[in-house]
Amino acid sequence: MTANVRKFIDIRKGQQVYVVPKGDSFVVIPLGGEIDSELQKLMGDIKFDRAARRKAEAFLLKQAK
Amino acid sequence: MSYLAETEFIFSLRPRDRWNKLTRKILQKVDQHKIHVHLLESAVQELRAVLYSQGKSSRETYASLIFIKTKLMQHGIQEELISIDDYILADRLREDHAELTYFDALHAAAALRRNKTLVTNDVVYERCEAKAITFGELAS
Repeated sequence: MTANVRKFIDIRKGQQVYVVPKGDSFVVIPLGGEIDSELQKLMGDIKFDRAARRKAEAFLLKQAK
Repeated sequence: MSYLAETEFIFSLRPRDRWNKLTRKILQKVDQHKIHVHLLESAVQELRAVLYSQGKSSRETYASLIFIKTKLMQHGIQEELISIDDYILADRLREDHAELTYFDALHAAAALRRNKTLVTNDVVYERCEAKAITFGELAS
């Protein structure tokens, strides 16, 4: 990312980004820190067990109604 | 040997997850080309439903997906897409096995249709005759 581009988005020099194609352009998503610690930060509070699976299923079916 | 990973595998990528040590060993075996693991698309669907049902925002959800995808790519783990036949078999399985959730049935159907083994510690899949291997068994 050049300085000219960085002026328009909240991104630091050298910061990693994730790029997703979108039609004839791209969406650039700035990434935070290290993968493992970010995963822990984002999802670490979830206990994934059968109750969580049932809750997810209920959520999905409610959305589908 | 090729295996299919379901949602439990994604959650086990968290460093403090109870299965993380075993998952690291499994990833080592993947890196050494001793085994192949594919991540089921149905696992990604279930992950999103879990995150949203636990109150996570869209931003938290896509950020999680980016880090998961990046982690999987580092180990060359590819995605296994779900087809209409998988949905048909999943719904058929749910007729006979009421204990299967919507996503359990999809994971099981995908494994049964491809005659592949699911990487899971969940015993629910035994009941519908899907082949399964625990994290401990695969890591050893």
